[in-house]
Amino acid sequence: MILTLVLIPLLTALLVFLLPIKKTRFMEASVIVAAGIELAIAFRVIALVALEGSIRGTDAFALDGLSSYIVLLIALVGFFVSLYSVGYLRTEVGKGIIGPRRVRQLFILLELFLFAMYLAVSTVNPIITWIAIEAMTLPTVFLISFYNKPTATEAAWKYLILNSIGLLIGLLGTLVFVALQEDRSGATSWANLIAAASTGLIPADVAKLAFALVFIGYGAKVGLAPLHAWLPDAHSKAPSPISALLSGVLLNVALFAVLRWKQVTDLALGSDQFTGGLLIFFGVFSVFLAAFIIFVQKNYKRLLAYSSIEHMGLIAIAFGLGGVGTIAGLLHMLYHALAKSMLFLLAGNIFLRYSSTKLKNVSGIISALPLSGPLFFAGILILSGLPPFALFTTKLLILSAGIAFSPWLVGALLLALAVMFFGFFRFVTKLAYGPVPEGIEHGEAHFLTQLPVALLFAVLLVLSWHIPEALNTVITSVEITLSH
Amino acid sequence: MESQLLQIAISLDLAAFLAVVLLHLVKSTKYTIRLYALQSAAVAAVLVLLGVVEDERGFIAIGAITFVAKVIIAPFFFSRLVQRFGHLVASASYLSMPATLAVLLGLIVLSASSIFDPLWTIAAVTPDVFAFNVAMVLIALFLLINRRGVLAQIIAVLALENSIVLFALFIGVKQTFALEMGIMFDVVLWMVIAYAFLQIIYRQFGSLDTREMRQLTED
Repeated sequence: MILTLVLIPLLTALLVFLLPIKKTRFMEASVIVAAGIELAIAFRVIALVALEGSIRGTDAFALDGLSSYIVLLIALVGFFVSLYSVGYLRTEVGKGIIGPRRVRQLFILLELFLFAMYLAVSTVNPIITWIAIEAMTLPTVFLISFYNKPTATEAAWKYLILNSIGLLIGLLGTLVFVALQEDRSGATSWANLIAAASTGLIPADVAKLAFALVFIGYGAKVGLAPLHAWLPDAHSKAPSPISALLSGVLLNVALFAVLRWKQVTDLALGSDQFTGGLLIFFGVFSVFLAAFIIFVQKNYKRLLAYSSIEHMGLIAIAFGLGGVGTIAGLLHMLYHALAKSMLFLLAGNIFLRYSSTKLKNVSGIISALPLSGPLFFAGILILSGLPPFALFTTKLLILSAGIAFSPWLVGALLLALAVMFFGFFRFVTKLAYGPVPEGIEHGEAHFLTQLPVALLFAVLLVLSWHIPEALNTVITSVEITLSH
Repeated sequence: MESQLLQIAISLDLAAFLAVVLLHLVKSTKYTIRLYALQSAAVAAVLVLLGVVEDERGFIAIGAITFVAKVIIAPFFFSRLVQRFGHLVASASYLSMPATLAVLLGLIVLSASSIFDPLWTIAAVTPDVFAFNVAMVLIALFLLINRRGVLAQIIAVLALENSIVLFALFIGVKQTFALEMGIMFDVVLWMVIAYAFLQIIYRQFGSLDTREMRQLTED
């Protein structure tokens, strides 16, 4: 089952590559069917992991609570993004912005991106995880520069260089950890490393240094400040479905690697103070940086990108705090992935109607876009953490967990979140209620750009009030694994 | 026999270290490419030596692939770019030469300082060159920060990757053939993408100097 999960996107990429250039409908069908199968497998994986604790594939592949949870995030967001891409690309082809060749390119790169993400979380080998995360950079760099504009090229170059530096530093940390095992073998597994750490084979001071390297490496990919410089540019320049995947899933896959190494390091140190301290420090830095920087933004996609930095910061703080914080962090990952991908897809709908991502060119979306406008507004409310939506609960849980750590920290975070809220609403009210500019047609671009966002909204609402039993079991098991 | 081979490997490692130091000192793009090829050749040779010592054909194969990809193909394409774009291929640095030398000295001192003491636990296999390998990684990282040309940055990333491979080999990390191939595959793919981007950047910005890429700040 795990191999099927990993190989389906790769085979779909191959199929799309082999199809004649004009068979766009077949390509679309392949991408949607593949995403549907992946989602079905992800549901099955969650059910099995909830029942058995883990699933073993071959020697190199296995899924436990944490990896199956991330698989679910990839599959959920991947499904809606695949569905949306069809409508989005059809509209762009209709407008003459791109041709069928570019459609094929995007589908191939999208599938390769998904393949690398599934591989990164499904393998038991930390070096393969690194290889997969590095491989993820390669399709995404072309996806970010998809429109071939100088700004997109610049964003992609920045992404390529910064992520490559980060990942090479991450590789260095990974190799140091590997060298600390008795046999120094690269053919190791997370389980071997955990066993080595539990039995005191990994010296504490080396573990600290190695974790710092890994944290810098993968932290750059998570988008934690001050290693975030690539993120706003890449998210704002990529086509909207890709921005949704970058923000909703890629950041979480990188965080997955950080959490794996955190587990090993905590066991080696016999305490989570060091790793927790790093996560809290950089998390707080990210929240503050994002909160104050959004006031000078001129682009609504950049606004969403900075919000991703804020939310990844909050998630990092949650995992840094541990205990209830871990559960809050896991739930926040899920809700943020769904809410942010929905908002990026809606940003795509706004772009299709207004042909601009600049805030000064866009206003009155609620009357111009009967579905996307209200949903965008609702999405911003959800993201801001207003009750009764789920992100309110998770933010509250994170802050509650933080009080035991430091009431000052909670006070400072509340201030940053309030600033973020006002920053958002300064722009969003104009975006939603201002006059519709002349020459902008009313109505949505395509049925398939509406259906996925409506479904995403529905899933988000349902999961806000009801977490299925199997998913709940998996989340609890991850909390136990990470906190003890 | 084994200790002789180890001595050769250490000499190659020192050659790679010198190549990275010299990469900071040369201004000509032609020599930058040659120094990268020299460092890569040292990596390839160490891999082959390791293959001979451990009787692992996989390592010999990886050494051969490294040689073909990093010593022949990559420098060939980089040289073609230099011929095509000529003076536009900037290898200038942000810091002046005296400042660069001062930083280099600082990094070498830092790598031999007590900050990296914890890492000596894993230096048991070849303690003689451990500080050099740490310094090589730091110096390659500094190269990436200090250079402002697109091609020079690409070479700096690749030099950093070479330095990390040597670091891993000399601390005795035993990679399997499949894992080495995976890493090598990533690196080759990275080179192809960086090469493609270099041309796109030239087409869109009319320059290969990263200081010309200012569209995002004006957006």
